[in-house]
Amino acid sequence: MTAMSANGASPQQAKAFALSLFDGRSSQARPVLLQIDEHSAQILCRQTGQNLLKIPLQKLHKQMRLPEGYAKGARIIELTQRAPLDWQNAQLHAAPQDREAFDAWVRTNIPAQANASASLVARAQQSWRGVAVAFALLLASLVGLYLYGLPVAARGITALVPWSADEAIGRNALEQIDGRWMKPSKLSLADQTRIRERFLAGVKKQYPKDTPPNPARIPPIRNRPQRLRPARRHHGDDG
Amino acid sequence: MITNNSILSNPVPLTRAEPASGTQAQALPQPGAKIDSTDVEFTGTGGEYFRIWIVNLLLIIVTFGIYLPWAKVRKLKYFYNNTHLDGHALDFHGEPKKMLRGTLIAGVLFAIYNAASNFSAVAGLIALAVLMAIAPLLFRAAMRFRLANTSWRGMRMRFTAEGVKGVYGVFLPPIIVLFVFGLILGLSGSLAKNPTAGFRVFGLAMGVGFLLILGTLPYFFWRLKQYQHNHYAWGPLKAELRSPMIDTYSVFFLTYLWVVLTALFFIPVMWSLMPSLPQASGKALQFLWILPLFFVFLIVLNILPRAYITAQMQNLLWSRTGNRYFRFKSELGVAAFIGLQFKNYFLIAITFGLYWPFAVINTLRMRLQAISLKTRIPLDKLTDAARARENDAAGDMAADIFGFDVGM
Repeated sequence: MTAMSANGASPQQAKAFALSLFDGRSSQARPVLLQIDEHSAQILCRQTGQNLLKIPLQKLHKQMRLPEGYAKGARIIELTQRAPLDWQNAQLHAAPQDREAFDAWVRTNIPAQANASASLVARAQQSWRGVAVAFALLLASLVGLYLYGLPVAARGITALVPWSADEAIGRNALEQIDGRWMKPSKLSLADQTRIRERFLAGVKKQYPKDTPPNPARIPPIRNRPQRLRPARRHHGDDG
Repeated sequence: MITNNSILSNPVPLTRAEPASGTQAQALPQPGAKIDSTDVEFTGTGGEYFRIWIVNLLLIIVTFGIYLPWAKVRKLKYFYNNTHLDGHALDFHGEPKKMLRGTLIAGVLFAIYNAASNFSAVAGLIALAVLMAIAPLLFRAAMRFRLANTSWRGMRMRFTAEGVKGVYGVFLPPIIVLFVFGLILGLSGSLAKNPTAGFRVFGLAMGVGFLLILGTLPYFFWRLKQYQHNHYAWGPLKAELRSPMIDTYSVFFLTYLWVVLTALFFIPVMWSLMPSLPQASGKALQFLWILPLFFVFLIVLNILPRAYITAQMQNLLWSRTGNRYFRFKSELGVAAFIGLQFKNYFLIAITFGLYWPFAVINTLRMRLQAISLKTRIPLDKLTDAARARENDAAGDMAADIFGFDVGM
């Protein structure tokens, strides 16, 4: 049922390769030859020798999509939506036993720009070295995104969100915390004062020169980006 | 997208060049008495897919997701080109550039939903309702796109569902059940004034609602599978699913039974560990013992029932799909499949996820190689009277991103 091995012993020399043509309208295979010369690719009927289709080489990459050539994957050439009217959705199949010969023939005869397996991505995927490089880049980009992308995104989003929404979300959150999880303290007033003073002393230590941001004196909107910038790094300040 | 400029370089149009063998608009031959059987063969390897997967991941991340459709096409092409039936592989023909639109639409929908639910609960609920309202359309578009871009022996498949009635008929009832469930919960919570009684009513409503969902889930699933399998077509062959609802119910209830059995096994063990520990060692040590066991319990609960239902449903659905000319048969070993899933998750865990592509390939191989095709007519001389229509590529990616499994 598959293409006959009219494919010669030396695929590099043979300008034509035997394939099965499926026209997209029926499940019947037709034996054809795909032939490449200096100017064009031609599909020839293997029985009559009739020229069925001729595609100029410079249009080949638009009208034909070549397989990327995985180990035991099928070698199927697709004719694309840009192929001539009757040929859209047609396919050329290489016989399973012709896989290696087909790959070798494509490498020598099809111009690189029309050859999907010659693209950078495909080549990276075919080799373990390419994959190692990709893996290193993947880790690097993940780390980079975490270190630089996340803060930039956070800053960008806070800058985009309107001030009123920002304030509403903050107020809402505080109200929820106060209402749901917090209860009035049962400590004596003296204890409360002691704790409060210790806290304020800690804050003073953290901001020796500057006063801490006072909620009663929220700066006007134009100063907002400055206020939102995280404080200079203090050790043990956050987790 | 049709370019006619190359017609000059096309000496003989293909239709006219075709030998006059009378294959045009032919009726299907009478099915013969002899049944041919051919097994699905899957030749993908974990190592090869690992390489595709890593490069895809990298490109998706550095392009902030724009590469998603290219990655998807490359992945599907790899899976399809390695799935051989009767000496011919499947192929996927989706065009990434067209599918990109779906990615962007899904991205916008996600952003709107996120923004709305951040803004207020009501806005989030409205956004969710809108998403649910269009989800059936996305699903149908995705099915049509996937099938129209899948070919075997050069012929595209089709998803033949027309109109929107069918797909809403499948998706609306479960949405309504979920809605009623939410309504009962909300009402029962707000009706009772007394907190203790309120809690009891709430618990009761929760239990009833949960049973309602568990009881109707097999029916909805069966309806969905009917909708899918009854609309698959290739050339002149249209599939039919002839499986009574009761079979789906029995698979689901056996799955529920597995959940209960898992719990019955683990919970007493964890319980018995609690008092046996010396009181002096404190609560921390108790957790030290029980926590790992609890994790194992969760993992088993996550793998076992899912693997069981996947294997059983595949065997049930694919062995009942076909018509008088052709029929599939699926003989997936349930125990072997469950064992494979445990092995896969274990190896994924100890390799920090790097085993993932190997697990995908192992699973695919076992599932696909369990399937065979029985035919009573030769499949190599059929013609496609109703050509597959190129469908909206947007639905495919959008549905994919929202997590619909269009898997066949």
